[in-house]
Formats: sequence, C-alpha cells, structure tokens
Amino acid sequence: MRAFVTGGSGFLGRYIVKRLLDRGDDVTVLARQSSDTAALEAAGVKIVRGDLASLDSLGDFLDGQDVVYHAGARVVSYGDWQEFHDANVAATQKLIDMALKVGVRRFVYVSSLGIFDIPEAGVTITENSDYDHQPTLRGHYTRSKIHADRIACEAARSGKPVVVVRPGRIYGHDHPSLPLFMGRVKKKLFGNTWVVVSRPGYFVPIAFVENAADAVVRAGIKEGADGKIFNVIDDSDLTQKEYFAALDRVEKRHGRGLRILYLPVGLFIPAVIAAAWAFRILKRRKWAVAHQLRRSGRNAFYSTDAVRSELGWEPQVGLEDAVELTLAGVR
Amino acid sequence: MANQEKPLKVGIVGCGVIAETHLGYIRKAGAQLVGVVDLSAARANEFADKYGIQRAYTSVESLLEVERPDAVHILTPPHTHADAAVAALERGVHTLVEKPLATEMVDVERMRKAAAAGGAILTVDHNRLFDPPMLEARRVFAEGELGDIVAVESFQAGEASRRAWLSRLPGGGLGDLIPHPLYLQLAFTGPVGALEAYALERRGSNEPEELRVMMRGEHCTGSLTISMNASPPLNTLKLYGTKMTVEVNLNNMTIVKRREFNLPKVVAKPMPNLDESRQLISQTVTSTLNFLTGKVRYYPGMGELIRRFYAAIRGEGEAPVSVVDAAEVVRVTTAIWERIGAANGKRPVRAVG
Repeated sequence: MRAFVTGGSGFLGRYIVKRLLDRGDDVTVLARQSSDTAALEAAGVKIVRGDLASLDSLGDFLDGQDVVYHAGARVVSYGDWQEFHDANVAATQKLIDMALKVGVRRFVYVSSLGIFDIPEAGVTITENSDYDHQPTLRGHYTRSKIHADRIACEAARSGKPVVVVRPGRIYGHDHPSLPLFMGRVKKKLFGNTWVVVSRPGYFVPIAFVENAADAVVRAGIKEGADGKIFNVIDDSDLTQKEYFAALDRVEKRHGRGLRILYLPVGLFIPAVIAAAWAFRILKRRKWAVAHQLRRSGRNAFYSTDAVRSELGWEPQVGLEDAVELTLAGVR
Repeated sequence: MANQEKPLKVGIVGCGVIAETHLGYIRKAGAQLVGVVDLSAARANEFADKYGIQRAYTSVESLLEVERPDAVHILTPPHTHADAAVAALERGVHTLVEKPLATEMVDVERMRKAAAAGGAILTVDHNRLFDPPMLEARRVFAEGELGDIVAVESFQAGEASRRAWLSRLPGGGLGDLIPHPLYLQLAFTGPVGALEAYALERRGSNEPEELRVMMRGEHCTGSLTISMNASPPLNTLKLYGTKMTVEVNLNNMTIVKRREFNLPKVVAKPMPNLDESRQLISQTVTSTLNFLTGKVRYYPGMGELIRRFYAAIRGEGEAPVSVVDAAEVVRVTTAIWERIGAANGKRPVRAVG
C-alpha cells in the first residue's frame, strides 16, 4: 500500500513510518525544510518538503496515496493562536478535504487524549465524552487539537473514510522533551526522591510510543474501521502507585530505587482559588493555570474498549519493558 | 408535564451575530443544543469554544445526518435560508428560519413543499410580534377593544447593519431594515391588494435611504416608513381603530392606548393626556424593573416565539408564525422592490419618485 505520513520525522511519526516499512508499504513523508530526514531516506522513504501551515503551495501531493496518516502538529509551547490554528486546525481540514477529493482509501487523524472535559473526579471518559468546556483556558495547543478533532470527527461521523486515534501521553526514549512520564507536576527533591502532585490511586493515561504507533497503523489498515474514533492508552487501570512501583523495580535493577512523595492537588486548591480570583480582578479574564490545575486534580478513567475490540489492539510492549527501553535509550 | 419529557434536540445553522441570542433562548427553553453549523470551521469552533458547545459542523447535511435533531434554527444570510431549510424540512426536522424567510417567492415555495413532504413545522423569526407590548396590541385588535381597524402605520428609523452579505440582499440596506416594520404592519392589514412605494437617496450615495410604502390591505390601509437618516432610532407602530388609537414603541417597550372619556368637557379635555402619561410611567417602571431583575432580556419576543415553536413541535398549539404570513412578507417585499426599481435581486440604484 502507498502510505503518506505527516509528522513522519517527528517522535510518534518515526515509529509509524517504521511499522509501515516493516509491513512493506511504500511510504512518503511530509517534512519541513529544516527536518533531518537522512535516516528516513536511507530506509527508502520518499520525502515531500513542506510545512503544515502552507500546504496550498504543495500541489496535489496526495494523488495516488492509499492511506494518509496525519500525525504532524505544532507541539511547541510558544507562539500565537494563529500559528497553532494554521498548523493544527486549518491544515487538518485541508488534508482531509484533499484526501477525500483524490479518493484515498482512508485518512487517519492522530488526535490527543488531552482534549476532554473532566468535570469531576471519578468520571469515565469514552470516545463520545465532552471536549473541555473551556478550551480557551487550555492553551493554544490543546485548543487547536480540540478544533481539529471536531473537524476530523465531523468527517468520520458523517460516513467519510476517516478514523480518529487519540493517544494519551506518549513516552519513549526519543521523546523531544520528557522521555518518561513523571506525573503532571513533579519535582526531583534529592537523590532519587520525587514529589508528584497527584494521588497514588489516580490513573495514569500513558501509551508507550511503539504501542501508540501500532494502534495508529491498525486504524489505517483494519477493514471496516471507517468513521470510528479510538482513545488509546496502554492500560486503563494503571494507577500512579503501580506505575511508580514499576519504575522503582526497573531503577533497582540498575542500582538504586525510587521514592515518591504524593502531594494531592486538593491541598493547593484554596490557594489556587484565591489566586484565580485575584487574577480575575486584576487582569479581567480567567486564569488558565487555575483551570488546568483543578482539571489535573480530578481522577479520570479512560476506557479503551473500542480500540481493543474493534482494532484488535493490545499493547505489545508491557509497562516494565517499555520503561526499561525508555531508560536504556536515555542512558 | 412537558418539562419531564425528553428535551428537544436542537441544532443551530449559522454562527453569526444573532446565534448567541438564539442559543440563550434555546437553553432557557430547556432544549438540548446538539450541534452548530457554519461554513467556516474556524467560526463554528470559536462559537463552540465560547459557549461550551461540543459538536460543530461545516455542512447542514452532516449535522442533520449525524445528530438527528428534532429542530433547527437557520441563522444564515437570507439568500441561503432556503437550501438549508429544505435540507432539514425534507428530513422531517422542524425549522425556524431567521427573518426574512427568503428573498424570493420561488424559495418560499420550495420550503413550503419540503415542509409538507417532510411533515415538519416551518416558521420564521418574526420576533417583534411577540414582544410584550405587541402581544397586547394584537389582543386589543383581536378582541375588538380597538373597534374596527381603520389604518396602521409603522415607522422604523435607524442604520442598516453592516453585514458582509448585505450586497446579496435585494433592497440592500433597506432590505435589511424592512422585515420588522412590514410583518408588524401585515399582522393588522391582512393580505395586501395594492401598494405604492417611494424611495429617496439623501446622502449622495446611489442607494436609497428613505422608503415610504402605502398599501391597501384586506382589513385596512397601511403605511410604512423607513428612514436611515432620522435620529434617534425609533420603531413604532400605530393602530387607528373606531374606538381607540394604539401606539406601540418597540424601543421603549411601551403601549399607549388613547380612548375617549365620557365626561364633562372640562374634565374630558385633559383626561387623555393624563391617562397616556400614567400608562407611560407605569410601563416604564415595570419594564425597567423586569430588565434589571433579569426577568426580561434583549429580544424578549424571540424568547416567546421560540417557546411557542417548541410547544407546537410537542403538539401544543400552532406554529408562532404561519407559512402563509411569512410568505406574504416576502411577496410584499418583492413587490416593493419592483415598485422602486430594485427587482431581480438588484439593489435599488435609482430612486423612483
């Protein structure tokens, strides 16, 4: 099959490309002028040079492709809304329109699990759960992923050959900033003692990069998956306690263990509420940090029944092996 | 009780300036907003962000097919109403269209047929008919307190809105301003048999800013004046009956009834003035209080119209505005543009005196 991958030189994208090559697919990657694509080219991948924010100048580059995997996005934490809109929202719409026009067999959009509303602790999140009710308080990246998800889901729900895959926090040794998930707010105190702002019983919505890439590729090739939406994390029941225990076991094999001190977000809530009020009075708008902190203080269970039953997906790499691989890669 | 039934599933088509007001009343009526549509995904998404809406679409068909709403509000530019409404009506989805229902009679006919085929209610947002003083004026008329109606006058002074689609609207700025005073007037004149229209440009533009229409209706004569130059803005409707004169002021939300007093001449002379002052003062106090306490919001008539539309869907009562009445407004508007040389969708470029 002929596969086109945006973001193919990025973190998740490289693993998607690798799986496709292993399958024997003929792979083309959209990469920016500045991206280093030597390894991809050496592996036989064709490169289309271009930027998501200026797709119009690229012509009909999707002609003849069978499956498009749209895994590219502006993921940096700086820049104004327009830049995020152009690269993440407008580009998604253009790619879907273009792909449907040239008649690709399937379009897979890689979304994010961070788009959901968590109204209260203990909610179960499914593929049909609400987006965050206050997207403008979630930062440009998440807001743009919500907008793009809407566009992709409109196409999927209205019968187009579009599939949406929403992985949780992806980890792996070559992650551009934080290879290993260490909790949302964390601080290395001394030695191997970490302070994690969370509770031991809270779920950890993470996916090892190879497992996430597996789900994305399955979404591209599985018969009858058109119009489906899949939330993807490795283990819905994985708690912070279990996760850090696994980390501890791996670290111990290499010498020293790990100590975690949990600080519940609840402790900070009165201060956050006070600061949010002060911010609101002084700046005359809502304080985004307060919204995000309160959201992260709520435990959410992410169901992955759909991806397991409909794509036949199971994480191929287990938690301890994934952590071991990640740490080995970093060392 | 109606409130205990499953809430109506409602969609909004067109996320422009009026959508926010509709949204407020949709939620107030207890309906569930299942999705919004705008041709611009960015606009739909921004509207969704602002009001915590989940589903946004770029095509009406997608909304209709995926969300299966019970009703939609069509809030797109007037010349696009028909396509969107027909798509909904054919699928049996009850449809409320912003005013004017359409800009051409062929479109009205398409919508009427689709509503009949789909067994769906089609109605139009002639909201000012349901503002509290207008409801009172219609009651006074219907119950005969007015006596026989003799004449009706409507007056509208104000600027046309600066919508991007104004250039696509027959009549241009006048076309934007005419629906409200016209449907208010037609509610009393009945179907129009003959009319004469005059337009004038004043500010050196090539587009008329002043319009006066005289018409002969089934029940009485009517006159309609629109001015883009008279200031301050004013929307009034006067009813002349054989027993009473009624003046509705829709800026101030007041209705003043002038009647005869059967009293000795020296007392009878100042009585109407005193009576009118009393009405104005008491209504001003009441409406100010209602507004301050949040009992009444902007566009109160729209809230009442939407409430009646949803009630009609549940089988409780008639559609707030009939297709026949909505069509008559489009027909008379078209006749007015023909009179002043603005037919075939072109804007009136020359005043005809």
